Amino acid sequence: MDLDLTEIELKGYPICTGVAIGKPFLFIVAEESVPEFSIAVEQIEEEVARWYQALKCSRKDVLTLQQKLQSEGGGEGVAILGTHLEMLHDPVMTVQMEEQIRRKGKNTEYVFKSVISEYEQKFQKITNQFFRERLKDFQDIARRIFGHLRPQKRQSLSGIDSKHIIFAHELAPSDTAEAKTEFIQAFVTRSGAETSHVAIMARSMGIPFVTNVDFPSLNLFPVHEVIVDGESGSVIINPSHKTLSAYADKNKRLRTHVTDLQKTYSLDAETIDGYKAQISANIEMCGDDLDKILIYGGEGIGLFRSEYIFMSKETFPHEEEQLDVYRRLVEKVGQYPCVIRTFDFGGDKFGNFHPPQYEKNPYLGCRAIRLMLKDKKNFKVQLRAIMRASAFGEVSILFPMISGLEELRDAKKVVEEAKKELKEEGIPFSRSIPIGCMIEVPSAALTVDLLLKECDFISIGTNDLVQYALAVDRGNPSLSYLYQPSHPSILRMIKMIVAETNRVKKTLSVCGEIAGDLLYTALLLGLGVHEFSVSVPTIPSIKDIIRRISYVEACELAEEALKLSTSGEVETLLQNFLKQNLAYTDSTL
Amino acid sequence: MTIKENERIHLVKKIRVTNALGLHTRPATHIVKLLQNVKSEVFFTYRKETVTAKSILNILMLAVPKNGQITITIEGEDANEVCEELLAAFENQFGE
Repeated sequence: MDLDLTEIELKGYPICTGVAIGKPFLFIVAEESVPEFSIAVEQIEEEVARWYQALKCSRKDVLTLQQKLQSEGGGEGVAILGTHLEMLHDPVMTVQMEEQIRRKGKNTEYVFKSVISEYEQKFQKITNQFFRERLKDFQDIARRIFGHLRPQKRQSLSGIDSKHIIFAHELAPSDTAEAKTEFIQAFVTRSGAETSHVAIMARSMGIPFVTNVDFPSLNLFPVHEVIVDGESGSVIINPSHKTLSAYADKNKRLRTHVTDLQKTYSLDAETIDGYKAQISANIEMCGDDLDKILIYGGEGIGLFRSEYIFMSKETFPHEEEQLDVYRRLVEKVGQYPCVIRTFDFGGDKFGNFHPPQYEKNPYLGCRAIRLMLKDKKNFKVQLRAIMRASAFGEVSILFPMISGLEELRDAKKVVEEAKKELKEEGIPFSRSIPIGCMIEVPSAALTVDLLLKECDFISIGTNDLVQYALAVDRGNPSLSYLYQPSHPSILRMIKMIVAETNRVKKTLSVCGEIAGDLLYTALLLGLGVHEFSVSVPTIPSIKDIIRRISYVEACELAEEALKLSTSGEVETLLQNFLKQNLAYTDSTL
Repeated sequence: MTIKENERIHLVKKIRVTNALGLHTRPATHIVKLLQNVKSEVFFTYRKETVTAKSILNILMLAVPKNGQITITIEGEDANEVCEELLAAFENQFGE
């Protein structure tokens, strides 16, 4: 066989870490050409019946999927699929389609295709982003119906029964809901955001995911193997023997390491010299990862990003509905604490009930606590639900994006009102719920001593802190080289926040991406961080690195890092340190 | 404006959408369900585009934002009752 294939390396934006080597599965969403032919008058009834049959099968599909998601406790997709069901009953889909098949006397596929194009054109003219997005739901349904109309099976991720790397233009919620996760090695997509459904799912399942990859049509040439590196964002098609063996080695080391990691599950996150750190979990959904927190030895939930689970709802989630979710979390972690961050909408995250408003600078706009303070009625609903959950376990309230003392005071005022109401109504809740501030705005970092006088704990959200301190949009690919968590300014800021908090003996955790990045673990520890809040799959590896190093070493590392003047120098220092301490990582990859 | 031609009543009303998100999925579903068993034909017109109000997809396609003003056209024998019910539904923001 002629194996004269050149290695092609594509660059994308890494969303979920991990390395996968495997065969590609091209998940084609685009419709192929649809034949057009006439239907004899006596066969029209049959053609109409065929349409209704496809519609019926599609409804059944959606209903089954919805029940599957419901039983898995995923509130997110259930509402979306409900809308899909409604659309499958729409007159456009029923009587109008029937009428058109009869009138045109053409095959159903052709008629349906022309209806879809007509709607696609109309929807694309809509300037309002929120309404235009609904087209995706329509296309999702259309694709499903098409699958049932055609003799061949509808392409679906559920059909994958061996391990593959999924290449897709974009993945719809129903696609990912159907997938058997054990067969999915990685996702590579052309578009998709960090906050998309598939990203949330991939993260909680620990599946590598790279997006913004402009992959060539994989049908055009033979593809034997693909490497997806969810750390660097590289996607390598037909890798050379050299690349392959380098990655295979890395993967093998990682895999042996994963087995090794299992041994750490029941051990403390304790350094060689006996310094104990605490590792808790960042949670977005109430999925499988909830069970894994305690299995991996995580000590509670350090950050529940409460907005994700309610994002697809069209109205503000009511108190009982929120209580249900919060109570489930609190009970799941048992005696450990559960920190619930109040809704952090805005910027790049929007709920259907808080649609994007036009803002020139959305990241500097009305988001997070600012948005909720403008909507005190609903803010109070959330606070009441969180407080009520405190009757079932240890709960803390965390406010996102506090920029100064006034905001903290305003937010606490609403807490007091909610407390008063609950008291008057005789509803049980804990009278000592800790209140915390996210430190992600430089102004809050610089005045953390003042905030500490009026709050109980601090959580450093490095993702936004880096973006705001360096004035770099973290989603802008052309500026990604400037988004440097290792920048001396960030190190100084973290040092200051930690020192102030430890001085008054209050709790602090780091919950941004760097908390779960092995490169930064020793540095953070050395800067005085006790608690790391990380995504669930990362818990064992962070615990492992802490167990391999000494606290004294970590402090020395931090001291040295603080003397350096560029982020490049800091990064080299950290990489060398990691290499010395972790045999399985290889910085050449 | 009411024109009686034989038994068919023809009504035209203008109304402002007050829902925070405009005529999005939930109000659209609400309207479609409300009109499921009525005899009249009901149309919404927004920015020169006219669609049947008995289809979620069509209503969504109008993309009527908050404070958008639409024209409702109702034709049929039960037009008066339908009009009353529809206006009430708009009035109470479809129960939101």
